[in-house]
Amino acid sequence: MADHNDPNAVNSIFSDIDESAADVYDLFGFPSDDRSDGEKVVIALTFAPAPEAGTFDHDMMYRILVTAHERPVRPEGDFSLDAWLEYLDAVKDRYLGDRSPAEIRVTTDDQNRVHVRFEGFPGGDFSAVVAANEVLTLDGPKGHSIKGFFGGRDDAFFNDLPGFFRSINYAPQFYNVPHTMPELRELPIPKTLIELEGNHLFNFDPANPMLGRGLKEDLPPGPLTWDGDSFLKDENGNFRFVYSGEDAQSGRNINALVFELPISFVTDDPDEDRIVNTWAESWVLKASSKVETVPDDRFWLEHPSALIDSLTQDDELKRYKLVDTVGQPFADAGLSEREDSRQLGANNFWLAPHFVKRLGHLGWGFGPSISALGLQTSFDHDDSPVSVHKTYALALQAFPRVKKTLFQRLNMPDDSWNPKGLDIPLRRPFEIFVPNVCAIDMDTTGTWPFGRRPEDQVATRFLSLFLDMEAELNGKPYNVDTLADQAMWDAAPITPKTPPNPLRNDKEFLDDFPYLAEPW
Amino acid sequence: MTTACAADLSRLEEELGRELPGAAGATRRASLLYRRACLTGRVEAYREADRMLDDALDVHDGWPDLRLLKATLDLHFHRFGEARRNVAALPGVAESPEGRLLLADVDLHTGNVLAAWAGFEAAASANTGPDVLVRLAGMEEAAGRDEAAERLYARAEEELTAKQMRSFAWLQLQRGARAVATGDFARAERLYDRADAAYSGYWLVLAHRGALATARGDLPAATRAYEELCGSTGRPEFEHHLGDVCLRAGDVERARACHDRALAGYRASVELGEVHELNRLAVLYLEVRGDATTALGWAFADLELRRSPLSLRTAARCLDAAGRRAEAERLRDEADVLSAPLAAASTS
Repeated sequence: MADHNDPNAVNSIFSDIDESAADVYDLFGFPSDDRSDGEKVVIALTFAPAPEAGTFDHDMMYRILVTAHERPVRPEGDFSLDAWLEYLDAVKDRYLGDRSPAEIRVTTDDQNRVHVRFEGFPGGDFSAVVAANEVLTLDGPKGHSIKGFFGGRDDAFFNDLPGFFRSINYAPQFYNVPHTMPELRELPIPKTLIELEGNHLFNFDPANPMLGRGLKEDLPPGPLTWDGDSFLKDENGNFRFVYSGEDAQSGRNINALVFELPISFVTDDPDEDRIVNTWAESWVLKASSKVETVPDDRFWLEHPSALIDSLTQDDELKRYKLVDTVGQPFADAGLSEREDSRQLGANNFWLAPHFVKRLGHLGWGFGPSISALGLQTSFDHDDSPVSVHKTYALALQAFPRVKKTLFQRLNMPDDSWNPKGLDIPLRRPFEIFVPNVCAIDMDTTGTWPFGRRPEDQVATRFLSLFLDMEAELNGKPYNVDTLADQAMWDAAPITPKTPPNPLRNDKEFLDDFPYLAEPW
Repeated sequence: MTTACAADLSRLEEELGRELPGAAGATRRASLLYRRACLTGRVEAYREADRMLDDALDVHDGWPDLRLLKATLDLHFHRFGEARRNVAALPGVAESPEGRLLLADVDLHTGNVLAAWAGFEAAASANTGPDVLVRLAGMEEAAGRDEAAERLYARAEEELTAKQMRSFAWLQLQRGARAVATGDFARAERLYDRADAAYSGYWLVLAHRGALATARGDLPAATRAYEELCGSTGRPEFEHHLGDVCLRAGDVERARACHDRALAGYRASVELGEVHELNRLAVLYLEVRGDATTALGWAFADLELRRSPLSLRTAARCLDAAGRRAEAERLRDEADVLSAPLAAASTS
C-alpha cells in the first residue's frame, strides 16, 4: 500500500501521534521508459514529509533493498493450501537464504545533505554526499550513471483513503479512539463496498460531510457493532457507495528518494534476470547512538555475546531500530492490519496463513457487496444477501472460500503492459503479497502487478482481487481496471456513480526523471 | 543555545495555545500539562494538570484515557486508593497495558511487592517495551541483583530511539542512582553526563547530580545544584536537601532558613489536602527539629496510605526516637518481610 497508515507506532491518523518521517508510504518500481544508454529500472520510495517536504529528519535511515532473478516458473493447475505453502517454502530461500540483497542506504545530516551508499550491487560499492531537492547523476565505480533525486515531491498516491477506511469500518479515521482501547480499530462491522442499513457510525452523513475527511469526533458511547441485515438503499433503489472517488491526498506533499539504475548495475546477467525485486525500510537512530559520549556499556563489555542481532547486522545497522517497511501496496494496511509486529517486509512468509484468514474475513465483507451490485466475485460467500462479519481461527477453514481469490490470474485491461508480446504469465494474488516486495518485470511496462508505476490506481486494482476474473462485463473479461470503468458505474444501482478512487493524480506526473510531480 | 528540554517546552506551549476540542482534545491538553510538569518539575504545574483533569472528567467522565491520566496524577500525589478507583472506573482500562502497569506501580508504592512484580511480569508478557523493562530492572535492583538489573536496563536502552531522548536520559538516571547507592560515584557521574548529553536542561538530571555531590561530600556543588532547583521548581524537598547540605557545611543559619521554607512548603501541601509529602514531613521533624512526637504523627499518617518499606522504616526510626523500641522493631521486621520476596523472585 500506500502505507499511509502503518505501523501503529508511527501511525499518523491517531490524533495525537505526530507524523513521523519513519512512516513510509509508497514504493514505486518500473522499467524506465528512457532506454537511451540501455535498460534502466526506476525505484522511488515516498514517506512522510517530516519535518517538512524537502527537509529530512536527520535521525532516519532509509534502506532500499534490491535483488534480481529470472522470472520464476509458477505452479499451474488446481491449487491447494499445501501447494501454496510448498511454493512459499520454495521461494522464501530467495529472501531468507539470500541474506545480503543489494541495498541503497540513505541518511542525511544537519545541513540536509544526503548521504547515499550503494552496497552489494554488481556495479560496485560506492557512496556519495549530495544536495537534496536536485536531480543528480551519481557515477558508479564501473562507469554506471545512476540518476538520483532526494527531496520533496507531490504525494503520488491519489486515493479516497477515507472511503477505504469507511469500507473496513476503521474507527481511527473517523473518531478519536482512546489509546487504552487498541482493539477499537477495525470495528466488528462487516467490511463492505456499499453502505449497510443502520451503520450510523460509518455511513456518510450529509449533515456532517467532513467526518473522516479531516474531521474526527470522539468515539460515541454505546454499542460499536452493527445488527442490521441489509444494504442501505435510497429512495431510487440505489446503494450508497462507501467511496467518493475523490482524492483525499490532493495538495499534499511527501519526501521521496528516487533512483534510476541501469539494469547492468543491478545484475550481472540482465538478459536472464528479468525480475527486479525491491522493498524498503525505515530505521530510526537509537537513542544510545545519538549520544556522543563514550557509553558506560559495562554490560556489553562483559557480555558481548548477548548483543541481539549481532550476527546479522552490520555496525551501522546496529545503531538504528527498524520501524516501517513497504513493498506491495496494501500488503501492510490491508492484509497485515498495521500491527507493529507484522512489519516483516520481504520476510513475511510466516504471515501466509494469516493472509488466507484475512482474505477470508475481507471476502465475507466485500464479496456480498460486489454481488449486490450485479458483479461476479471471486469469493465464495454462499450467495449471502448482505456482507457478513466473520473471522477465522484457522487458514484451512478460510481456504475454500478464498481459493479462487488467491489463485486466479489477474487479467489486464489490454496488452499494453506487455509491449514485447512475450509469453509472460499473468500474476496471481498468492504470489503478489508474499513475499511483500515490489517485483518489477523488466519485460513489461511495470504497471501493477508487474511493478508499480506512479499512474497506477493501485487501490482500485487491489479491490479487483475480489472480482471473478473468469466473468465478463459487456463481452470483456473482468480485469484489474474493471472497477475503474466509469461506464460500469454509470450502469450500476449505486450513488455516487464513480470509480472508487480518482483515476488520475492531482498533478501530472513528469515524463522525465524523477517522474513524481513537483511539490505544492 | 536552547537546551533540549527548553525546546520541548517551547513546542509544548505552542500546542497548548491551540484549541483542542472534545474528550480527545481534553486528554491531549491534560497530557501536555502533565508533560510540562514532568519537564519543569514545578509543584504548581502538577497541580494545574490535576485541576484540569478534574474539570475534564466533569464533562467527559466516560473517556478512558482521561481516567488513566488522572490515575497517573493520583499516583504522583500518593492518592493510591483513588488511582485504583480511576483505573477501575471504566471497562477495559484496568486490562489495558497502561492500566496494568499503573496498578502494578500502585502495588509497589503501597508495599504489595509480590503483586507489583507479578503485575510487571504480566505486563512484560504483552509488551517488552522500555517502560516495562525498567520497572523489572528496578525490582531486580531492590532485590540486590545488580547484574540482572543492568541486563534489563541495557535491553530497555536498546529499544529507545533518538525520538525518546528524555526517556533515555531518565534511564541513565536510574542506573546512576543505583551506582550512587553502591558507592560507585565515578560511574554515576558518567551516567549523569550521558543523561545531560542526551537531554540537556532537564531538572531531574540536576537533582540527581545534587544527590551525587552530597554523597561525595562535595558540598559546594550540592549547594549550587539545590539552589538552582529551589529556584526553578519551587519544590520544598529541594529546600530540605539544601538545608541538610548547609548544615553539613556548618552554615546553621542558612540551614534553618531552608528547613523553615521546606516545612512551610510541606505544610502548605498538607493544607491543600495533599498527602504526598507526609514522609518528608516526618523526616524533617525527626532529623532537623528533633521532634519525634510530631514526626511520628506524620509517619503514621503516611503509613495509613501505604505500608511500603520506606514508610515502615521511617516510622520505625520515629518510634526509636520516641523510645518505643519494640514497636519500631516490629515495623522494621514488617519492612524486611516485604523486601524478602524480592530476593526469592527473579525475572531471568
